[in-house]
Amino acid sequence: MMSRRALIMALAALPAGYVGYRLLSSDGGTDTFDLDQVAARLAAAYRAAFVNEPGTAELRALLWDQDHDCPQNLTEQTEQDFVSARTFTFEGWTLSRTEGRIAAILSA
Amino acid sequence: MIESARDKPLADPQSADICIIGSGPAGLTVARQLRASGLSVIILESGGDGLWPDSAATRLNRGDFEFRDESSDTTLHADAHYLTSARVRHFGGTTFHWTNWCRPLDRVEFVARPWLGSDGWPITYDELSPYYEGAYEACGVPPVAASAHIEDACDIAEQRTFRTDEYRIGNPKTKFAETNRDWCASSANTRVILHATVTSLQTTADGQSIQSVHVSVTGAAAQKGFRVVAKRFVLAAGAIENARLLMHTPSISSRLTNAGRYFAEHPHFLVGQACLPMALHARLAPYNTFVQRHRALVYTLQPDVQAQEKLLNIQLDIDPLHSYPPSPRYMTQLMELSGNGACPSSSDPTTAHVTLRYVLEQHLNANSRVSAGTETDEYGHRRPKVISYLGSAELRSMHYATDRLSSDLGRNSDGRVRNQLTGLQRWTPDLFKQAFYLYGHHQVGTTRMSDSPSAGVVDRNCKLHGVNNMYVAGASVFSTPGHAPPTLTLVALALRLANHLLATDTHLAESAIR
Repeated sequence: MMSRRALIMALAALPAGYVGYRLLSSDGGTDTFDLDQVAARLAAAYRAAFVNEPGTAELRALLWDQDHDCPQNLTEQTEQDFVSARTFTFEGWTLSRTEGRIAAILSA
Repeated sequence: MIESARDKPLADPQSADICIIGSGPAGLTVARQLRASGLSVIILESGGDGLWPDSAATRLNRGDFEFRDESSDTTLHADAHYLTSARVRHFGGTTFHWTNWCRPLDRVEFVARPWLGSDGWPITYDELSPYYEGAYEACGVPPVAASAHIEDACDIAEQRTFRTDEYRIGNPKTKFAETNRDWCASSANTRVILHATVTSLQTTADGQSIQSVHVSVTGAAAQKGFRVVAKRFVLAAGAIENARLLMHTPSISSRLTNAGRYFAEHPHFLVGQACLPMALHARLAPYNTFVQRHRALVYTLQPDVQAQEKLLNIQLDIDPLHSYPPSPRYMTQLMELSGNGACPSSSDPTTAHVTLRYVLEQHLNANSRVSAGTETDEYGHRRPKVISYLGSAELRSMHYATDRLSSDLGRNSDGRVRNQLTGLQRWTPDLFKQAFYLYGHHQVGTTRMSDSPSAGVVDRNCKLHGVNNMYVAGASVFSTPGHAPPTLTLVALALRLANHLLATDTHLAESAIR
């Protein structure tokens, strides 16, 4: 399973992390505390958009590549989300479902 | 020669082969093309040729302007100063204060787009295209060449939703007064009469010809003036005044009921932001529309996308934020957009923030028009009241473009987009206030070109329908407004009109036979 640290790093690396950070952070820092807040806000928006999403354990499993026993390529997955219109809106920003799932796991 | 009607009383009437009303880029371009023909030309200019526009002439520009929502007919934005600030009565016209951005209209704008209520132009892009070369030269900018390098620079364009286009920007700005003053002053057969405001058109009894125009001396008593008699007349006084003069002439306005209609303005709206990877931002930065001195990159929707989705031909500007200190007004808008009162300029070395700005092509609406306001001007004519309607097509086009940009960027890991208008499906004063960035300061339409008087005012040769000897030059003849600044195209049309005037002049034809 992906560690919390790996998920935090993933979120920080994806555009959603930057978007959330810019909206919530005013001091220019990028510490973990801010990313937690980002994740909480993203997760709330995500859960509201996809009310039938499974629980945290199932979401974690969805981000894990069972065949190769390693994390999914999250960048590729987010790109595919946009191809397939699996997106949600967070304060006007259009973000991918995968980004929302990472945030939902982190904020659980 | 250049003279002022204020300097000495001019005999009544003055006469010429051709009388041009207005010395803006359209009027001066027509006159310049005619100068070698031997035809006598009088150009009547309401303003002067001093350092600044004449105050009495500027007062004549007053009127009311507003944007309205089409579905509810409610006012979105009213401005009593727009018509004064956007127009310049001066030798050289509005090139006195223009930004010199030049771009031709797009091919798609010439063809019928029924979903926009547009039957297109009666002429094709290819018919006008040969005149753009001369227009670029007159506007003082090099022509746009094939811009494959720009296509390469922008991943966004590779998704087939948008295409890139390029503006040429004159720097230093080309002012038509500067580029035309010398030849006008030394010309033996071209007279420019300054401070000469045309206040009425006199027609024959059947209304089929213009006999003369009445000219009042700008700033003097209304009765002080003279007539100009000519074989042919060219109305080149800007879209508002072109329409007003026709509407003040009952024998014409009763027949040409589209005079004043189909007005458009090209308003700019700031609808959101995007965050982009620094690498993409770096490729866009050279085309930053705020710092670029000679050219600028913009995006438009692909023509097939417009047709498929029934959209307007709007223009998207992606402006990097932190490459240049923008204006205070711009910064204020950005801070409002950021949602937390902080300027969203990025200090993150890997991601850049940009704003998304649209320049709208407005849909055709016969009720977007110049009409008579309540107040009267110095000559007893009612001042103009201009209403410009915004409808669902404009909002839908901006939503679609923003959503597709979001999708195109997302599927390439090239960033994310924030649409400030998400969910807003109709215009309201609040929405307008939130998103309105600035005027195009363009007045387009009002004497629309069409093969039928039921859909326009001038024919394909820019001649008034049903009037033998009056032509119109300027952006007022545009059949569709497009989104590009109109000057380049109106100059191209003026060149075309001048050729037509030369080709159809009976005196010249007789001389050629002799």
